[in-house]
Amino acid sequence: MAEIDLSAFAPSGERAAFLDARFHQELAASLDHLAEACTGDDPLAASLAEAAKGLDRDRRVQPLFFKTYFEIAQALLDDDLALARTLSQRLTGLPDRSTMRQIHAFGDGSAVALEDALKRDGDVALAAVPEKVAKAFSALLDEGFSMMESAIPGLHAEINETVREVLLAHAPSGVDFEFDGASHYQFWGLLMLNPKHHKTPLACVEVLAHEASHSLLFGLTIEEPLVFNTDDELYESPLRSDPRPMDGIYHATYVSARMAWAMERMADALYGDERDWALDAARRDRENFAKGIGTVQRYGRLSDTGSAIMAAAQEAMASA
Amino acid sequence: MSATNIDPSKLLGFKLMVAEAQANAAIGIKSGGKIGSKEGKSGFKAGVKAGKVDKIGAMQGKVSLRPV
Repeated sequence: MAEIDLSAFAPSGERAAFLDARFHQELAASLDHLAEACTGDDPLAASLAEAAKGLDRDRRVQPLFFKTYFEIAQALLDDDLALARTLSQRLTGLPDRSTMRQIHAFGDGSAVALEDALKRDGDVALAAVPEKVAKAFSALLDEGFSMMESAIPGLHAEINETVREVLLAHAPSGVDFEFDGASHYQFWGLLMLNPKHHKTPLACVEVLAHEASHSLLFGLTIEEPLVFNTDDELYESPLRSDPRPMDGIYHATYVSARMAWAMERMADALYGDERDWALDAARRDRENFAKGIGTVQRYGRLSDTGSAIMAAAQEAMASA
Repeated sequence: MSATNIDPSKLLGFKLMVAEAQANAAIGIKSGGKIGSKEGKSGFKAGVKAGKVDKIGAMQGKVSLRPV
């Protein structure tokens, strides 16, 4: 089998499957290490070792499993054994992930534990989606996936490997800014979407290209971060009005390039108003990339991983 | 057991913090709540003990926002 180019810009299902497998292998090794470190607590060590079984082969687990691992590791680093025991029992009780992509709506009762974990994390505030809205958006999302499969099969294949659960959610009322999409390193396999902001199948394709590119970067960030800038260094973002750490600027810049790439390929397969919409979106995405790459080049202290991935994105934007 | 038995450079996600700490220590960056002032694993553990280790950007949520 040919070697996979991990930093290549073009989407690839084969690479995504490799990254998914590697994330699980890393999880297995981490749980085994935590189990070894718990030599004074045999029940805890045993439950952690049990949770790791099969992850280095073909067993695949849900995003909540990953988040619970992160909470256990933090509890142990904090010497909070009681919390680690509670969480490890929860971990071993979680079913493996479904072979079919799962779509949940915040507040519908199908993903209560996942919602609780997101609330504990606190990075994004979410609110319930009415059943009727969730049903209509799920249909829109299906149409978007079909369009993508036909026009950009590589991106479709990549997303099939890295996005295993979708949580539909609204933003809480009374906020100045609403989330329209989100993804999270610690919830590997999860994507969150706000139905309010994506009204057509083509708009769904664009936001899927956006969020899936965050997931791709997470999958590529195993041994070192993309950038070494500390999180208290804030810079102007191409995609958000609030100043962001360099890691966020890097993500926004790379994601903009992939959105432009995806919309230009969609435009090639479309006619009339849809083609115009795709080209307009691609133009905006390219502008955002141009803004972001200037900041990354000027202030970013990129790791070797970060340099290779962004170089491929720059080359793709220059040659298209 | 205690956190001293754990090597964070062997843990998914936490090894990113160690790599960041090592890179920043190498060029002498010392920031308030971070652990760049000490190299690698020992700096990470010292940071945990002192309650100074936050998750870094790489491990946080990536949220797209729109004005209401």
